[in-house]
Amino acid sequence: MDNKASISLRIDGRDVTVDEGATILDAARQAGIRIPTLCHHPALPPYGGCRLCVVEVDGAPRLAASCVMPVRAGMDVVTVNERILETRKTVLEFLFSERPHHCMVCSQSGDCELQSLAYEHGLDHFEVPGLNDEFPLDTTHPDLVLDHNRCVLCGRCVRACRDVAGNMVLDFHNRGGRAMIGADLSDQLGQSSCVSCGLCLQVCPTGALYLRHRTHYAVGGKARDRRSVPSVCPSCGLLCPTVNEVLSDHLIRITTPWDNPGAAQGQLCRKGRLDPFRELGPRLSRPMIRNEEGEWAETSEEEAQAAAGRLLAGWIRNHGRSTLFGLISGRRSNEEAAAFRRFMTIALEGARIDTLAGNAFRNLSRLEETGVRGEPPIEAAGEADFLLFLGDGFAQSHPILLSLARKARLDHGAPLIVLGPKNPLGPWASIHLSASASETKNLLNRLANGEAGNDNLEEVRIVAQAWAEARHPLLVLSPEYLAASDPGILHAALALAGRKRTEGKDAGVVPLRPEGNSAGLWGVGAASTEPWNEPERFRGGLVVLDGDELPDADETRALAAAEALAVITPYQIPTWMEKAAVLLPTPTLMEIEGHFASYDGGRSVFKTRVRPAPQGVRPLEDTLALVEDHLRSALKARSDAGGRPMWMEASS
Amino acid sequence: MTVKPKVATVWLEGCAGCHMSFLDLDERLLDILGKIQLTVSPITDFKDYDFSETTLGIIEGAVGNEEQEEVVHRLRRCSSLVMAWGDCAVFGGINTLRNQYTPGELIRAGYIEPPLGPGQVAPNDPVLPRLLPRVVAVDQVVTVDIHVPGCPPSPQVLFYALGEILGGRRPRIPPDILHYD
Repeated sequence: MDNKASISLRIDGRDVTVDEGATILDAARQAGIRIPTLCHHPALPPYGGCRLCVVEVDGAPRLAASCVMPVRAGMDVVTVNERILETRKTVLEFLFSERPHHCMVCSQSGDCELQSLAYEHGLDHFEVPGLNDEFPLDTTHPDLVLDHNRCVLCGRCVRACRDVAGNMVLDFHNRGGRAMIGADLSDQLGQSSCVSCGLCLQVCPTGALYLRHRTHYAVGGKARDRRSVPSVCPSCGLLCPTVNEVLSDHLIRITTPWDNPGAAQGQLCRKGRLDPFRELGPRLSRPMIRNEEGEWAETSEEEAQAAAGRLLAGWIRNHGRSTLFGLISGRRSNEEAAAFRRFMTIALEGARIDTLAGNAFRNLSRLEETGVRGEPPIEAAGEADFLLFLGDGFAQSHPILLSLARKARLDHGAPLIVLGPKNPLGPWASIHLSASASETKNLLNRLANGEAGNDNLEEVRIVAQAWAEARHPLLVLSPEYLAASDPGILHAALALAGRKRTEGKDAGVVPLRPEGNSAGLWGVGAASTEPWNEPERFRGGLVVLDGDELPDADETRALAAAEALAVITPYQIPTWMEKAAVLLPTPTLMEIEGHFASYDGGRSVFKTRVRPAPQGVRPLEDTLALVEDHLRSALKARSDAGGRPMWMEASS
Repeated sequence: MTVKPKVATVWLEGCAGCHMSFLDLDERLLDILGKIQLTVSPITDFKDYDFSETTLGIIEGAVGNEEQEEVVHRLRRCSSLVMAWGDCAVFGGINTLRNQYTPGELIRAGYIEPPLGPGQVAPNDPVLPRLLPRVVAVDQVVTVDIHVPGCPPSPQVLFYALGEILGGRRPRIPPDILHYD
C-alpha cells in the first residue's frame, strides 16, 4: 500500500503534485519539464556533484541542486532564467577547463553527455583557459580503458560499481583538483579486483571509460549514424535483454535496458557485454580441408561440403553408423538444433546424437524421472540468506552470480561459501574450502546428517552453524559437477536441501547448465538419454560449435579416438583442427536469429540478428542440408576408399 | 555602388582544414564572394599581409610562435570584427598536445635526438620564428568577436556565420550545427 503523502508545489508556474520524498528533479520530470543533468543517472542514487541541475527555489539567492533537493509543500521553483543558465554555462566551462577535453581526438565524440550539454548551452568558446596538465591513461585492463583526461568526476562509475554491481572496485582517490577515479587501493584497473562486468562503461557520460576492443578502429561516430539493435544475450539461460549499437555492421557497444526485469536488474556480465567483442581465434570465413600433405587449405564451399559428405559416407560404408556421433554446442539456437537433429535422425540415422556436455542433460533427466524437482530460479541467489557454491565453474558459466552473491551479502548479510578448487568470489567469500569433488560430496552428506557440526576444522563447523541457521539457503551447483559422469554431488545437494525443506525452510538447489541454450537443445531432442557407454568405440562424426566450448569427460574420450571428423565452426580453433578433416564455416551467435530457452527450459525468447554473417558464410541449416545432399550421393556412388587414412578420404 | 566589406583570412597553427571547409561551400562560395572583397587569404596567397581597413578578420589555427602572435595582433588592430574558425583558433586544438613539454624539449625531440642525415642540420636560421612557451587559443592573445568551433567547422556553420555577419547580425550558432569535432 502506498501511504506516502502527496506534496504540491509550483515549477515554472505550473502546479505539480508528487509523493513526499521526491526531489525537485523527480517532480520536474514527472511534469515533463526538462532540467539538464550530468552526474545524475536514473539507475543510481542521486549525488549532487556536478551542479548542472541547479534551480531557483522561492527566489533564494543560492541556487539549489534539484537532483538532491527534496520537494516541500508550496515550493516555488524556477528551472530556467538568465542567472540559472549563466550558472550552468559556468559549471560546464569549469568542467571543460579541468582536464584536456579535446573532442576532436576523442572516440566518444558525438556520443558524449558533456559535449551535448555544451552544445545545448551554446558554448562556442571557453572563457576559462584549460589546464594543460596531462593525466594518466590506464590501459592495463583487458577490456576497458580508463582515460583520466576525459573524466569529469561525476562519480557515476563509482556509484554503479558500488550500488548496482555491489563491487566497490572504483572510488575517488585524492581530493580537490587532484581527485581521480581509481581502482581498489590506487591499483591499475588490470591488477584490481574488477570483475569486468562493464557497468561503468554504460554509465560513463564522457569518454573516460570506454571499450578497448572494437571490431574496427574508427571512432564511434555520431548517434545518428548508428543503429541500436535490441536483442538478447544467449550466453547463459538468463537471456538478458541487450541493446547492440552497430555502425555499418561493426559492433560498437552492448548495453542493457535499465528496466531489465530479469536477474540482472540493469546489469550485464562480462559474457554479455564484453565477450562478443573478442575473437576466439581466426575467423573461419571460407571452408577448409586438408590437402595431400595433410595441411589445412581453403577450398570452395561445394568441394568442402562434398568432402564432408564423402568422409561420413566412407565411414558408413566401411564401419557402419553405430560408431558415428553428432555433437552440437549448447549455445546454438533451437532452430539450428532442430536442423541438426533432422540431419542426425535422417541422414545419419543410427548414429549417436548429443549436445556438448550431454552428461548434464542425462543427470538432470534422470532426476525428473524420479520426481525430484523444485529448482528455484537463478534470481533467487540475490534473495538467499545462505549461498553455497559447489565448484568454481559458476564464475565462468554464469558470471552474473558473482554480482548476485555480493548483493545477497551486502543486502542481508548472507554467508557466501565456496566449495571448490578456486575461489572466484575472492574476499567476498565468507569461507572458501578448497575441496575436491569427493570432499565436496562428503561434506554435503555430513551437513545433511549433522556430523559437520563436530568437525575438526573450524571452517566446517562455521559452515554447519550457518547452514543450521539459514531460512532460505540456496545451493548453486557449478556446471562441471552437473556434467560429471558421476552425479553424486547433485544428489547429495538435493538430499541436503530436501532435509532442510522438511524443517519447513525454503531451501533449493540451482543446477547450472553448462551452456546458454542447453535447456533449449535438450527440449528439441538434440541430446541422447543413453549414456555414452564406451566412448572410445566412436570413431567419427559431425560437430557443430560456437567457439571455445568444452566437451564433457565422456565426449572428450570419444573425440580423442575420432578418425573421421567434420567440424562446423565460426572460428579456427586449434584443438578441434587437430582432430578434424573438414572445417565448414557457420555464423556466430551475433550473426544468427532464432529462439533460445531460459536456463530451466521454461521460457523461450527470440533473439534478433545483430549483424550479418561475413559473405559466403551460410546459416547452419543450409550447410547441413547441403552436406546431407552430398552424403546421400556419396552413399549411392560405389567407389572404394581402399585402405587410405580418413583425411585423404575427405580430400579425394 | 556600395563598397563591399574587406575580408582577410589567415592560417596560423592549424591544418588548413577550416579553409578547405570554406572552399566546400561550393556554389554558395560565389554568393559569398559576390558580397565581399577577399583581400588577404591563403587562397589568394599574397605574400604581404595588408590588413588595412579590414571589416572582418578570420583566423584559422592556434597561436604557437612569435610570427603568429604578431599576425594576430596586426589583424586585430586593422579589423572591425575578428572571427575564430575551428577548434585550434577557438580552443587551441590538437596543437595544445605540445603544452605538456617546453619548446626546448620539443626541438630536442624533433631535430636533435633523431639521427640527422648527411648534410642535414637542425633548423637554426635567425629568421625562423621562435615557439611560444605554450600554444594558446586566439582569444587568449586578442579579443575575438565570433567563435566558430569545429574540426573542421562544417560548410553549413561557416555559411551560417558569414551570412549572419553580412546581414549585420551577431551569429549565435544553433545547437544543431554547433560542434567541436
